[in-house]
Amino acid sequence: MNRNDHVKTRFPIAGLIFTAMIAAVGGSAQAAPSIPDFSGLWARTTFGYDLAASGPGPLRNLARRSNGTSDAFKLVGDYHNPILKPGAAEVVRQHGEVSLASRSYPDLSNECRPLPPPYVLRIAQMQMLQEKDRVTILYIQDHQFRQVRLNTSHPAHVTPSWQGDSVGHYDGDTLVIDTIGIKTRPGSMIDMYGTPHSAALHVVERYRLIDGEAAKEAVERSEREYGRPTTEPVYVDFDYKGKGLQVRFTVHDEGTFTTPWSSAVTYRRSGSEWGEIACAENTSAYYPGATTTVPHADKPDF
Amino acid sequence: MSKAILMARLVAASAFTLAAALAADGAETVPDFAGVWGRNTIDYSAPATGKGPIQNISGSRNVMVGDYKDPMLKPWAAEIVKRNGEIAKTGDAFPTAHNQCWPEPPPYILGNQQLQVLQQKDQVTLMYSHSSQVRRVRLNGSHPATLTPSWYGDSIGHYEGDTLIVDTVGIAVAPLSTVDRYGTPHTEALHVVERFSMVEQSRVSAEPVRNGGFQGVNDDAVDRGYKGKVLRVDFTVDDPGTFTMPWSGAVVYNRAKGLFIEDVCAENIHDYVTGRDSAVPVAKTTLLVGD
Repeated sequence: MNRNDHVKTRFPIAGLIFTAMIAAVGGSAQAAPSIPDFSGLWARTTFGYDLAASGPGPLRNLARRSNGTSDAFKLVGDYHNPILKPGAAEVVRQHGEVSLASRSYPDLSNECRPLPPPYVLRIAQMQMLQEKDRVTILYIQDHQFRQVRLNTSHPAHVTPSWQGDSVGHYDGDTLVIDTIGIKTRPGSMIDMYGTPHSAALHVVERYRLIDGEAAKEAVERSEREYGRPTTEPVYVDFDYKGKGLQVRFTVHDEGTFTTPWSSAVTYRRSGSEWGEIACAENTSAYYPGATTTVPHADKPDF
Repeated sequence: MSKAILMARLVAASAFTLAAALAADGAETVPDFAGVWGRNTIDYSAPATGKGPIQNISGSRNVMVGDYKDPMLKPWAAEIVKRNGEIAKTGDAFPTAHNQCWPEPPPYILGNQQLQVLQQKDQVTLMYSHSSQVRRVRLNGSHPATLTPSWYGDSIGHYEGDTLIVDTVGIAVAPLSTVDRYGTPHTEALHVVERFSMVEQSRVSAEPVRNGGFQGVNDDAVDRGYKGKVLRVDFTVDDPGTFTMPWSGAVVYNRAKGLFIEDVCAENIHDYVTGRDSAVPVAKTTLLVGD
């Protein structure tokens, strides 16, 4: 085998120039569509999803502060939301009761499990690595990552996994990611209220850059609903005037919901370096504001 | 102007542009590490020359008794290796960063079964299968003057011909910090240099892939039909707080069989080495109760 079989040019731009010129000569070839550039670090200040102005949307926190905003230290999902089937509503109600008693319920996040979409959107810092055939999304929490195969389809038979099988394509200025095959287990959830899901969960995310001012407004709107976590580092660069990253998503799961529902989250440019959050060494539950009493053994195991 | 003439002129122009672009950028090529790589072992191979890693003295590859008499170990480190070996000889697994779901710094992370290398202009991202660990390597930069220790440390890299060189410092010290499968500890002085390169399979004889996997694993993570080049990582460990001298090792990844696996540490209680389920802590109630 030729040594160059495993060598690629570092600067594909040269090849692109050549390709573009040949295409111009050919006349009939279409110009390669540009794709959005999602590079850089992105950050959020809240964990929640945008509430729907109209139509079916995510759960709202029933626990409110005296000023009417969401009580970040009590997570009581609105189990009356008509999107919920009765079984799912009951799970959400039970979680709310635990939270109202100032306790933490088991959560994929506090149990060091991978977070499937859309729940993974709660993570405060992320980075998207775009390649020709693949997009890799890195998340700060417990070094989770997702891999999205581009311009292909789901396999006929998907083995369920924590983060499911994700395929994607660019639709103009938008990256569309379609995920199925997310496995279920006791405690599977798609939001911070512990809303469950079934094996039928199907999530479509649409990533798009938006104007800086629109991103700022979206983040501030989210903060008015959810507040900022008081004990967690805030990664957002509030002085950054450039574009933000909006993710609109739709959740389909006829096993859990009466109807598909949609929401969005918005990231702004991160103002800090990539952090390192190792779940196994963290016992702080941010919303209850207390250190979690993790399961413990009565005697040493070793 | 005919299309043929236009084509000729554009090809000439494009050749100039191509050359200019490459000249401006140094016309460098880099090795291509794309694809999913797999290993069947977590051992390090010894270097051709020079001091190598701690050896297993148990007589069984599944009983982790490191040679605590290795002269490169300082006394405090030797004592830890000895103590871990005594636990291993009873058939139990001693606590490690791996079986306790903690991040694994280099070189210990080289024991992971699968690896993907994502190469970009300014960054190389190393993705490992066990508990979806990720290391980030800044290219052509330098370590900060003041470094906050972290689990994976601060990694910088550069290409040197057909080799990617990754230099890591600033690796945090935790109770289970280790550099190998024997629980050999390290200090904050740990400095690891890794050299990633593609090699012909004939050069992988140092890797004991033909011995199969661990006892208890229905494994064989590698594609036995793959005939192409494989990924070799030679590394050097320098830590004067732990070792009396620098030492080196190597691992070789073959082409992995199948897709990248999803290996979630928090849901796995099976210890592959001992073939037993770990005696993990259990809660008496079903809910986690806050203070």
